[in-house]
Amino acid sequence: MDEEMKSLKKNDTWELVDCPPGKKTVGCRWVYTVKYKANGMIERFKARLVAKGYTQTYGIDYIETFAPVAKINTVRVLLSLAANFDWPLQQFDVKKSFLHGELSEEVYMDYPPGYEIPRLHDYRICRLKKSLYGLKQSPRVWFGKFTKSMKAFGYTQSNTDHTLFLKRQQGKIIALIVYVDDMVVTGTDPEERKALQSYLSKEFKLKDLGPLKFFLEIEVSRSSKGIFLSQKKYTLNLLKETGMTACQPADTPFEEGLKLIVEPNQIPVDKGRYQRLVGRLMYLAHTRPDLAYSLSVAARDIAHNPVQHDRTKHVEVDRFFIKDGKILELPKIRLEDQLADLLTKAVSNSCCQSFNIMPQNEKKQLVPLSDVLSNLPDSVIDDILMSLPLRDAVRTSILSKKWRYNWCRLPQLKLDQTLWETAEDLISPTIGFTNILCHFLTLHTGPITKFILDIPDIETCPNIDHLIYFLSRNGIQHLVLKPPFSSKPYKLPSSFFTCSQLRHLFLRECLIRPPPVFKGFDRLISLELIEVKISSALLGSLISHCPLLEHLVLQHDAITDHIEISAPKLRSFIFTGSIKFLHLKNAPLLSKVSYEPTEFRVKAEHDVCKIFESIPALENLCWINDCVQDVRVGPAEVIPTRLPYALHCLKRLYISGITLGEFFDVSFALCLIRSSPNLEEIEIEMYVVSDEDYFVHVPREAVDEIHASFSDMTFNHLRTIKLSNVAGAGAEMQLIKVLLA
Amino acid sequence: MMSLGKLITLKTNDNEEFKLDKTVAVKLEIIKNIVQDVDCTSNVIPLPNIDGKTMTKVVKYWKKHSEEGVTEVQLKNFDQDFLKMSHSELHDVHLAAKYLDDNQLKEVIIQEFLDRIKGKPIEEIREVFGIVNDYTPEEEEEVRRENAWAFE
Repeated sequence: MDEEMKSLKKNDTWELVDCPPGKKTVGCRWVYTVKYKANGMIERFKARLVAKGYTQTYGIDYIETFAPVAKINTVRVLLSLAANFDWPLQQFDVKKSFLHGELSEEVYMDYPPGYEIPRLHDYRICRLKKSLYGLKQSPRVWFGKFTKSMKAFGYTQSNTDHTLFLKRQQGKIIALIVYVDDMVVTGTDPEERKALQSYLSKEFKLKDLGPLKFFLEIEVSRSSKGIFLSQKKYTLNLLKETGMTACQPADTPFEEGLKLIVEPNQIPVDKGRYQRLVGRLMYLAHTRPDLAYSLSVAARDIAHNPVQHDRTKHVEVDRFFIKDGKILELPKIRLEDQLADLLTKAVSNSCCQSFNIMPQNEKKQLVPLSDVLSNLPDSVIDDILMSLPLRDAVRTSILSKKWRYNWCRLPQLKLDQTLWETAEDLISPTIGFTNILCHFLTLHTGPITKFILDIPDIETCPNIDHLIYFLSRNGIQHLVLKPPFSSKPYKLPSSFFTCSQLRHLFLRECLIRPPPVFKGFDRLISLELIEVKISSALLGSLISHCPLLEHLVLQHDAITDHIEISAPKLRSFIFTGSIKFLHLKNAPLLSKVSYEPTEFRVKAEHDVCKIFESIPALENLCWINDCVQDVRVGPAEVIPTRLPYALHCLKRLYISGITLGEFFDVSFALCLIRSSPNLEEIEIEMYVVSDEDYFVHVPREAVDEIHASFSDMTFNHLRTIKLSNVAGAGAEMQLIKVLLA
Repeated sequence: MMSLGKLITLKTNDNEEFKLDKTVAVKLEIIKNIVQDVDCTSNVIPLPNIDGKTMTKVVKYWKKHSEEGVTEVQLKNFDQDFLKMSHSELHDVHLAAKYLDDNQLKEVIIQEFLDRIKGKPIEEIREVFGIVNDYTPEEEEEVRRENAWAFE
């Protein structure tokens, strides 16, 4: 203790001052430790004065506390260099290293307990000039001081590891690595080494520990053949701490294929203890890479993060080439010998062992590297690739040779705008697209059954005629074409009409002008035409010549003439357009209809009646009223009470966008309901309008009549009635009454 | 023939036996066919292409998915857990599903593979699946050039 006091005074650690008002002091105490030698023998006893750093406040008493320590990788590299070039390794220890750091903050400390304040002073407390053990900022100021000294002596600090200092002169090099107060010096320049030693001794109190033996809990032994690292003491300590000194060694660090699972009803283990154990084991993995995988599993378990612990992996990779010993060789290691699996899979100890002693020429199969993905059947790879965006699918070409042309044989593809959105607007999208298309057409092989082209926002339509031609020759079955919106619609080339395999066709904004000989697509099942340009006569003919057509969508605002539809297999039909031009000539199976009229003009009773006349199998009807643009024209009086024929099959009726307070709407809705005796579900989504927007309110007497007009209806099958946005008008209430009766 | 017995025994290539409720088993085409062909209530149906470890997983999946009153959410959670297996196990289950002609299971597995690839950089896919890059740097450069737009 006296020695310590003396050295503190000698070091000019503090000056005695009066406590300035408003300043708080940091306490201090004595700590007694026993220093051990590497083999565990007692070296000396020592006493140390430490400040109670835990009473310090961040921002007031200290700001920065971080101090870098040597990375284990750097240490390894140094050791490896030393081993390979036969450099001497010397270890130094700085005595009382923290006491050298110079404090920039004002820190006041109580006088050490057990010692009298010297009489000649009236002052009570110490203002610290140098750092003390226990202060939060001690490691940092020490490191700062050390760095300054080293730099002053002409050393450069490494950027990759701030604890590594290098000096090069006359083709010679000297390296110093510091771990708090332990440092290792190696290099080719013995004179410089001596100079460094004496310089540091002058600056700090240096202790020469001789050749490197024990550093960072790693025992280092040196022979002419190389350097041997071991963590025997560390391991024994660890075993002792966990009470496992008597356990039997196991050959396999980790059971192959073991899965950790949560066992219910278990007493939870002490998490902190477990974490500390894993942490300590991780450090052990520096000399025992065979433990690495087990550890990564254990660590992963703590973190509840099923991701490979990258850090562990890289450390080990560094290790492998250092391990070789005296000659630094980087032999080509066959892929099946690449034990990347060592860190990601549980392997038996024998595998690790055989790797450790494996001569470079001997090519032993260690762990078969199973490339599961590449070995999947082609059809599965195709399925996977087809679910990826095309860009990602094309990128897989770089994975390996086997993958290079995998994407080229995909039978289903989608080209859309996401493909070139990343290419910053340097090239026009049209050119960008053309390049991609050209690339695709050049490389693709085999059939293409499905193709989606979705490029609505390109300004000028690129030439896609050759694409259509290409598709027509490769058995296209499902085609979706969404060319750019433009004033001049894309005209389908003649090759389009030779796609005889087509099952599903979606066209938007195209000009269809079939050659005179063309009739229709024999196998087409589903046809969707959105704002295509085609004459009504040709459209009717086209539909009529697709004998298998089951699903039809027509969105056709600009229709000006009658369309005659004859589709014996048609089951579902969605139509947007002027309903008066629609003429279903032959649709015996049509059961599902959705109408969104752009014009609904009623002049006579007949106008309503003919709409449903030709759909005998109608089961499911959607009637969507465009509530923004008013499409209803005509006096409500001409709407019949009920249709002259009953809609016997109609089970589900959905009407949206109508206002039941409106005479026209309520008449129409009631007409439909009255004509459908077998309804099971009715849903009416009403459109709420303010009073002044009504055209014709439902007259009082019409409301009163509602009840009587249903007197002969029973609605025995009705199960669901859904009315939304009910405004409470008389007609609504009457309808609800009737339906609930 | 179909109404005999309630349990069906399936035997894998490593002689592990699985007893399955018939209502679960006949959902699968292949088993249905075998059951129709021979009287299987007394016999054991051999599955020469599937090992016990994989079959355990498949059976677990079937049982959960044919449980009565199981909710969508429960199934979703179950699938999530079920799919937590290594790539090669996933592959094995896929092969089994293919052999057993279980399209639903097949799709689930493919989707899982897809999820493991989707949005990952090439290097990561290589690393995750142990795909060995056998291109020389020149070749790799060529492939990149060939598909330049995809690598922008």
